[in-house]
Amino acid sequence: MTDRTRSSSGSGGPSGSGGPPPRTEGPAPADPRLRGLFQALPRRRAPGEECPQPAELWASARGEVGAERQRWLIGHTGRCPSCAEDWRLARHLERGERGVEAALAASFGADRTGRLQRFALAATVILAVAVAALWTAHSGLLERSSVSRSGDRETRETLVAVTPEGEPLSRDRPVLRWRGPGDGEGVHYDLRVTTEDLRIVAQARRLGTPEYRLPAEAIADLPSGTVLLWQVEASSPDEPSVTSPTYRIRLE
Amino acid sequence: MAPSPQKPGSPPLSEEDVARLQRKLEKAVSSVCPPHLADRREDLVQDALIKVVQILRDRPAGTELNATYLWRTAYCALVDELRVLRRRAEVPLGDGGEEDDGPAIWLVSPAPGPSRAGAGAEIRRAIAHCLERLVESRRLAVVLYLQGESAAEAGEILGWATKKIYNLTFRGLQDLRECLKGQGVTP
Repeated sequence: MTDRTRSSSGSGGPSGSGGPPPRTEGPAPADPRLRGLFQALPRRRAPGEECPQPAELWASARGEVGAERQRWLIGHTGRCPSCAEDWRLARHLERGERGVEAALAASFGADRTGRLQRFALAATVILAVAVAALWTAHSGLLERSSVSRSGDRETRETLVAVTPEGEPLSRDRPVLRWRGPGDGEGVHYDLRVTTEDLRIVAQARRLGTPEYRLPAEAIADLPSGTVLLWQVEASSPDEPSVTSPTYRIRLE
Repeated sequence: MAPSPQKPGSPPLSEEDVARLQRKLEKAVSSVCPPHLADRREDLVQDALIKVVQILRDRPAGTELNATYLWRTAYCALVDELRVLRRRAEVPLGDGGEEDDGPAIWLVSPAPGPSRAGAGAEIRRAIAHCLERLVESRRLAVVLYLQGESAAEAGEILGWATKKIYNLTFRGLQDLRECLKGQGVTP
C-alpha cells in the first residue's frame, strides 16, 4: 500500500438520492461526491435489450450467479443507471433479509432502560457480521459455492451444478445434474425449477441421486430459449442441509 | 422476515405479513430511489404487493413459502413496477439520434432547471465514458464502490480478496479522476 492509500480515510456516503451510508473500512479511497453523482443521476428509461431480468439482478446481489456472468452484470450497472438503481435496491433488501437492520432497530428501541446493553448487543451483532464478511472475503473462494444453514449460522460447502449453464438444455433429454457433499451417503435432494418470473416449472423432493429429468409436460408449453432457474438442497440425517446457488439454463 | 405459518385455505400472507413487507419495500424505495420515484413509493409498493400476493396465490400447492422466496418475489414485482414507471416517463430521442435527457434528469435538488439538468447529464455521460475506459478489474471494483459497497462486500460479490479490491479501487478511482479531468469535468 502506498502512503497516500494509508492516509486516506474511508468515510462519506452518497450525497445524491440518499440511501444507507455506504460502509467503508480500512484505507479505502474517499470520494463521496463522485459516489453521490453516480447514484443521483439515474436516467428514466425503459430496459434495453441487454438489461437483465429482475430475478437475475436479485441472484447477482446475493452472489448466486457464475463468476463470468457476475462480472458482466456489475459492469452493466456501470453503464445503465436504471439497472444500477435496481441493483442497489436488491442489495438494500438483501441486507434487510440478513437481519442486521432488524437487530439495529431492536437495539435502539424507545425504552431508555438497558439502552447501553442493547447497543452493546447490536454492536456485537454488527461486528460478528463484519468479521464473517471479512473472513469470507479472505477465504480465497473463487468458485461459486453453496450455503448451508443451521438456524441462523451459515457455513460454505460445495453443492455445484454438473449440467453446464452455457449449453442449452435439451428437450429430448432435459436432465439436470449436480455434485454434492457426500453423494450416496444417505443424502437426499430437494429440487425446484422455475422460470425467471418465478413460476414453478417442476419440483422434486427426496431424490436419492444427484440428477433429475424434467417431465415433458412441464416444459412442453415453454418457448424455445426460455431461461430456467434451478436450485437444489441436499439433506442428510447427520449434517445440516446445504443449499446450492441458483443456476440458470436456457431451454433448447 | 419469514412469513407467518399458513393455515390450510388461508391467504398466502397474513395482513401483518403484508404490512411488514409494505414497510420494508417503502423504506427501500425511499432510501435508494431518486425523489421523483421515492415520492411515488406508496403507489409503487402497493402495485408490487398486489402482484406478490397474486404470484403466491397462483403457486402450485405444496410449494414451500420461505423468506428467500418471498423476498425474491417482492423484489422482482417491485422492479417490474419501477420499470413500468420508467417506460412511461421515457424521453423521446433527440434530433441527433442520441439519447436525450430532457427534463428527466434529477440532481440532488428535485427542481434542477434546464442548465443544472444539462450539467448533470454531461457529468453522467463523462462518468460512463471514463468507466468504460478502465481496465475491467478496476472498472468492476470502482463500480461497486460507486454503488456504495464496502471493500469487504465487493470482495464477496466478485470473489476477490479485500486487499485486491482496495488496490483496484484506489487505482481505478485515480484513473477515473484523470479521465474526467481530461473531459473537462471536475466532480
